[in-house]
Amino acid sequence: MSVLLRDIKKSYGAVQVLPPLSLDIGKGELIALLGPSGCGKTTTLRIIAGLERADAGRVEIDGIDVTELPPERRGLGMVFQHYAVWPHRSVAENVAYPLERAKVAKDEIAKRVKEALGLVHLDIYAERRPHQLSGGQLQRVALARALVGRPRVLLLDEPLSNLDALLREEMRAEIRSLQRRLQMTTVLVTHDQEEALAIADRIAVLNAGRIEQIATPAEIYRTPSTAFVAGFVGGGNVLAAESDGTVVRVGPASVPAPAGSPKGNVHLVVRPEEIRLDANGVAMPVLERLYLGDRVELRLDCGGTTVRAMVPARGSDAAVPGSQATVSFGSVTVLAR
Amino acid sequence: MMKKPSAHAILTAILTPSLFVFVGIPMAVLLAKSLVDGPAVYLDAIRVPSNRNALLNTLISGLGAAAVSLAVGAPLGAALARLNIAGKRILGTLLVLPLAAPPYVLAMAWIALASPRAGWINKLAVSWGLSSDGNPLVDIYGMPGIVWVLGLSLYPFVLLPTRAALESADPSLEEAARIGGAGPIRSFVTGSLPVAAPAIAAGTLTAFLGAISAFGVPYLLGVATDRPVLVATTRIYQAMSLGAEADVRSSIAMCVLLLVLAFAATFAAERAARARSLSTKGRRPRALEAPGLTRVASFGAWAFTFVAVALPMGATVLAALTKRFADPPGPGNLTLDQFTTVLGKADTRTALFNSALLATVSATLIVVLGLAVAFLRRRGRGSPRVAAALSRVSELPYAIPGSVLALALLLSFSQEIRFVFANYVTISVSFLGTLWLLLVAYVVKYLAFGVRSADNAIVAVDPTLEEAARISGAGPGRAFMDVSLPLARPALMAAWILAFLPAATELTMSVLLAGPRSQVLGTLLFELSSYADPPSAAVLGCIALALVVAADVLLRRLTERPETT
Repeated sequence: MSVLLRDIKKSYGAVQVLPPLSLDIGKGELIALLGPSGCGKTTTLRIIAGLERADAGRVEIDGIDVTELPPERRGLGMVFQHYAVWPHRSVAENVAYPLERAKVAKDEIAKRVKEALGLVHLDIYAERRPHQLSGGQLQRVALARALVGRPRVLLLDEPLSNLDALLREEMRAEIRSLQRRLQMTTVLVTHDQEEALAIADRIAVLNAGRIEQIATPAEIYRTPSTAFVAGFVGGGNVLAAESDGTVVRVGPASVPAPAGSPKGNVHLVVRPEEIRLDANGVAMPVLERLYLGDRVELRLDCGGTTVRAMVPARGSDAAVPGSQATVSFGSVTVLAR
Repeated sequence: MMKKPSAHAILTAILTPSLFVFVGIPMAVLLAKSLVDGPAVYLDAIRVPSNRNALLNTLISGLGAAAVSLAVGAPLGAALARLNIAGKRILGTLLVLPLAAPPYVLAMAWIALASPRAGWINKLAVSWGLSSDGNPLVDIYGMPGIVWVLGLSLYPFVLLPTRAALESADPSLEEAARIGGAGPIRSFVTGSLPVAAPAIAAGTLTAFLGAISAFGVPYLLGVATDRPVLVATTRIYQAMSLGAEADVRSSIAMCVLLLVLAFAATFAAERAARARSLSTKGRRPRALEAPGLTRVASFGAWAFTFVAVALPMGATVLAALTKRFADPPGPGNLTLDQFTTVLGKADTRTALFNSALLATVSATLIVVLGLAVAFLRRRGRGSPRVAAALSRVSELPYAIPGSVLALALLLSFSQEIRFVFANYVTISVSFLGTLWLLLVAYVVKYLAFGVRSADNAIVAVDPTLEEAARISGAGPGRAFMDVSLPLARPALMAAWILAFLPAATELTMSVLLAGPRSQVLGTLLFELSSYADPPSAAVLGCIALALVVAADVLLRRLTERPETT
């Protein structure tokens, strides 16, 4: 294991942010801590970094107990949400700083700074001042500075949240390919489920300081283990339903219960794209129709509960507010209520 | 395992006892000495007519100067904030200069202008037939003169906050009044003026505090004259220099009374300043569309600038260049000789050197100590309450009138302090009459400048910038030095200048604390102007004014062009 958290507790005054939390992160793995704001993901990251002290528990990095070590002695790299690029140092001076602190020889510093700037495609900006750079470029400086010291673990605190949509997708891909190439153990904190799904090896979904589920992106998406995960990731419909073990009923609709699913009062989880327009399906009133180009989002009244359906735009013209749409459910997950 | 003591622990261990020794002990000694003979000493102090009159005069001069400051500062501040008056930028600079100029230099200038016999205004009046020799047109000596000169040196305390409050007032308040049918001026009065009222009140109280703490002006205009008018500070000085036991005791009692008055004013000013609210960022109110009023205000502001700034400064320069002081300055009556004579004198050089040295060292100490307090408060891992208390205590002495602080230090450090080692090696230290005592006084008095500026500067630095340095391998102290310090540098340099200036021209405390071998610019100037040699004093006054103008230019360059590198 590369990073190991054991029974980490943290409170601010009377507010408990982390009930005992444990987490193992494998070598070379990119793990995303995903959750809404205030879920404890940033606090967890800062405890790994040593910027916050846990009230109790143990932090290990590469098998060494670092719980008592200050951040400067943990051998980490970190990219901050607002970049935290030092405005009074040039790009090269920013990137050189971790090496200066590590007392690396001058010519070696020059070589490695060049290398690191090359990694993030900023070679020609070495002598620029931060105020001459764009947000995306500052992000790359921060990344180069975090990587230059060859850290044991790379920490990313919402690194893409301040970039515009296009740049965000580009940087996302770049971070992922860099991380793969360097085999760098990486912890990414994000509230953006799409970002987590796109680049993480594993995702830990946090809610109120607890890990609701920790699994690969595909597992998280396909088989959420709690209603919270189902709702937070992928915007799934979480419907109060009843199951007798063979059939799950919700409003006018019924679907076959997956094998081994719980009985009685249950949550039926249906992804919006698993609700299809189907002439043989159940009729539901259309409440709203949102046109998204290739797809259409429909809001349907499923026995008093609103459900979101994502259907191909082609062939959905008849489903307008006030009309009835006949739909069927595809693959579903059933969770105990 | 032995842990290396942290920067926080070391700083707290140095700061806390130093503040205790140099602030806590003097104040405690002052209070203790005043109570040695029981509370009756206060009654005695008030029963003696000369003391009672001095306290009364302090109130009169304080209220008078505050009234002048309010009457002048509030309209000027409002005009600068909301009217398109002619030459607004230059006016904004010129009108604040008296804040930095030593008030006693202004007093000297007004003596040159308006003393009953030799004042140039009176001479001009006589030559124009407006008055006769025995019956001067204006007389700067006495209470009206004191109030006038104090008012003219303290009004920026009202002007600056008035202007700032009106410039940051939410324009929609006024716009609502316009929509409701009021004209531009009426809308301003009902919409914006009430928002600025707390700031104006706080500024007026600060001016009051400045006036009751003043020493140079009431001395030059109230003591060195045939009909003396004493205020508390000058009475304390007189009693201390006479040195009789009873006088000293009543001085101490008066100090405590003055201190209570000063703290009450400070407390009220802080309360008033805190009440400010309803300001919005972003949208600034526009200039009022009132052409008539704008013309009147332009004329008034420039006329006032001429009287309050140009006239006394010009008079100081002319007095320094005038050959025969009794004659009006003119082409045949000008010389540079006085500059060479005064600057050639050994005692002038010593005083200038002492002032430069003291101001440099104290300004540096003030900034370093301010930075240490800010570090503990904003970056420390220790108790935030302790750090906040340290910061509060180091800001406190600024509100203590200089005469009171000086007397307290005098009482606390006048004895020889003996350190006896192993019963036979004795080292005795005496602060009395040395530059060390002056240094302590300056640092304690102006520490607030360093603490406030450093705190503002450090708060403005995003803490994640330091965290990034920590992750990069820097310890807490190192991260502070590498990141926050360079980013705060322009603000700290400004703080250094702000502390250097008053220390270089300090008079009120120096006059009580300086010994014959520790004369400074302020005390020499004071001696020359009150006894012997006004032209020489004017030369030194010019030097002080040059320093003020140079500092103003430097400050403007530091604050107007934020570091982009």
